[in-house]
Amino acid sequence: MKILLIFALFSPLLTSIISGFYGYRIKRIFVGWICTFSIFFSFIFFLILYLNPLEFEILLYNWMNSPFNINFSLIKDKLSSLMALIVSGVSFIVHLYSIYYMKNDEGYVRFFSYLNLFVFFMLLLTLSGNLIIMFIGWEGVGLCSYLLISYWYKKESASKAGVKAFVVNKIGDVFFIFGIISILFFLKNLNFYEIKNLINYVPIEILKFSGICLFIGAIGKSAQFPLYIWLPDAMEGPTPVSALIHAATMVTAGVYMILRLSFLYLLIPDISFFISLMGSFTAFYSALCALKEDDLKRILAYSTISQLGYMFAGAGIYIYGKSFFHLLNHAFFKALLFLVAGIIIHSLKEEMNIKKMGNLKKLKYSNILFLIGALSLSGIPPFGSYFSKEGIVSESIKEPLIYLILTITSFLTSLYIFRAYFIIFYGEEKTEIHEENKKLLSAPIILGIFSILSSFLNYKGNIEKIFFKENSHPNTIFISFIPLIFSTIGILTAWKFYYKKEIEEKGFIFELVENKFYFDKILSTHFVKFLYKISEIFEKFIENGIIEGTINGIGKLNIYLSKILISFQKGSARFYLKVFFTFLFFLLIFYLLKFV
Amino acid sequence: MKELLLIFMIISLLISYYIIFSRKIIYSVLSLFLIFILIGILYLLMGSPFLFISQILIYAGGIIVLMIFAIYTVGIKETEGINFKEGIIAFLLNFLIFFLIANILKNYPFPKKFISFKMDFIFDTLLKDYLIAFEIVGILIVVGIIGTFLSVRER
Amino acid sequence: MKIIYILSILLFLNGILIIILKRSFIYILMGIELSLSSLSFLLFLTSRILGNPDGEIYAIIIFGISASGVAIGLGILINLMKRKGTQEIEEFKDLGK
Repeated sequence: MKILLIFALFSPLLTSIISGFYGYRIKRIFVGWICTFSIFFSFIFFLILYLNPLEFEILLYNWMNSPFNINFSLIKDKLSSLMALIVSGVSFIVHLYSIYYMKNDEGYVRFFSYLNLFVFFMLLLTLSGNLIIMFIGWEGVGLCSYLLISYWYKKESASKAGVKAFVVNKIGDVFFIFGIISILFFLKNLNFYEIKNLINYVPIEILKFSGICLFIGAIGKSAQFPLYIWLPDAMEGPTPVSALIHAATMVTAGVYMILRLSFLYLLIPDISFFISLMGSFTAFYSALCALKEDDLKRILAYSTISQLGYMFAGAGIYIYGKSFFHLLNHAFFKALLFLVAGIIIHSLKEEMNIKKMGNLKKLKYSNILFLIGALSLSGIPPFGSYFSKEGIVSESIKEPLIYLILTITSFLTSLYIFRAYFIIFYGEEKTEIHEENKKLLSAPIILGIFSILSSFLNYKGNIEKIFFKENSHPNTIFISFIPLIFSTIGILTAWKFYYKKEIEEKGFIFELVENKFYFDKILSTHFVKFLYKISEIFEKFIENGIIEGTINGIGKLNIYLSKILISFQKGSARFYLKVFFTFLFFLLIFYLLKFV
Repeated sequence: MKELLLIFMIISLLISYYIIFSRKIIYSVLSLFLIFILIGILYLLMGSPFLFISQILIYAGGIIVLMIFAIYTVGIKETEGINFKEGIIAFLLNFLIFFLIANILKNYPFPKKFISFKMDFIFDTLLKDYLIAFEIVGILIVVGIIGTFLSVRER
Repeated sequence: MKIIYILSILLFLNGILIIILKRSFIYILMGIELSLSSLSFLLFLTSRILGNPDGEIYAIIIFGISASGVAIGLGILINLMKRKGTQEIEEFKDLGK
């Protein structure tokens, strides 16, 4: 069993390194298949591990025991094995898709190498046994996200987006480190099992502090308000990257972290409620932003932010089971939507503006699959996301404010996604349509099937059982149907306005939302300019002044000293004589002075 | 007797100051000649006639003559004086050291009468204990002559 | 006796002074000879004071050495004159920068 875990974790790393260094020598398609096969390997192993109810912890390397207990340990329990299963499953499907999607791209081998590396780090994060290994995985996925966003590095906007993602992520990481250090300082240990037992001995203020700091780290990674700005720009990367990283896996790392540390957050209800509030606000805000977007991938990006907001909202008010279930469902349907978007974009020859699409009747399969994804996103039964998303909303009735925000957001969610659906697939044809690539379809079809069947993942509430022993109380039917009603109203509104109609979208509110409430603009102009100015000052004084000054100064000092020393070497013998006698006289004087 | 010694000594000192300050080479060489003779006389008054003769022969007779020959072969007449700044510093250091040494020696007990040796005793010691030095000096002189001759001849 | 000793030390220092202060090569030779000569006198005096016969012998040996020394020095002088036409040693700075 333990061997399976180790193999499953490290096989993506192995193929990443091999394809990175030697992949250019073999035919490109083979590299794709090898990397995909390694992920499939991991997936099978994780399936076996998930079906086995045994829970264990592996110690791979004992680093230090005193004064802090930090080791390289991996944990396999229900939470981590299910998450690892989903991660490897969705990764496998995305790999399958990108074998043919990226076929004509130059840096094919590099792409697969980075993708496998990313899967390794995500699995490391998932299976980590203590906060340090989780942080290593955290940083690793951030790095791979940068590498993959700026994959087409020759395009300036892609490089900038990659840097933006990395920097914003890093801001969150600083707070994450604060959180880790505060726990480390008090408990001298970071192992999840051991912290769980000892958590009651830490004073409540420290717990609050580290809870907040870790959450800010999660804000950075999972693109919540205000550190969400990197995710829409991250759509500069290839579509499989968006599907895998920015829908299913990396952005869910923040939620996973909170789920892992549920025992911590159970002790600090105020902070938890704050998390929930932030999450629901983000969900509402980004749904508004998605409504006014014209770029298909950016709509999906804002949708991701919104759904993550749902997950945080649920996790904040202790609905861990449904939040995790929503994480899994979201992985399926968001990846599905992204992959279908990829097919659409490919068949329209890289056109991403939905206003320029229309009447894509030829792409039958894409039509059905997008519809499945959109229905799943809106939370319509019998899709599994009804149980998760509307489940979160209806259980949040215990905090009425959250309930209100999330219900309105459900309306907005179905509105924006069906707006996109109707504009893309119906109406007049605006751009020339080519045939859809049949080979690319197998991956989304699998995801579509999983989206439909995902409700079975939670049979008998086994996901909720991971967190709490007893099932949550079933709510009255009235309350649990209200969000469903709102979603349906959203779909109907979209149908009325956008089906086969051209509607002018203008007006003050539209303008405000269009510019994302000028948030991004203010941030990028003022704040970023300020940062650049500080950088300039640093460069001038510290870089050029101190550092280079020291280096140049040492060089100049050397030259000066050597000039002095050279001046001793006149060829003139008289000079030598003078020096010699002067020195001798002084020596003599000092010696003779003793006898005075 | 003691006054005589003192007079000769002081004259030689004054003449050596003249060498420092003069600009004509011939005058300096002749002053050196005078100094050697005076030192020879001092040797005589100290009770060693052999050294007196040796001094006059070797130094005054050999070295000065050689120098005059070399000067007139090469043909130098006048040269520049000394640098003022260097001179001040050098003289100061000079006198400083001199006064320090004089201070030390002031309190050192000198015997009233000096001890003189017989000539044969000296030559015995020379040829017994210092034979090697004697021979080497001889070789040195020969080497010096040959070397100078070789380095100066026209090809 | 004491005063003679002390004054001959002054004579020796004078010779050193000639070596340092003068720029012409022949003066340097003169300074060396004066120094050596006064040195031999000093050694002779010391032997008289201490009652050691070695001092006189040193004086004799120094005579011989200085004679050959000056011979070689004059050879050097003639070579210098052949090269540069002057015997001011400031001119001979070929080994320096």
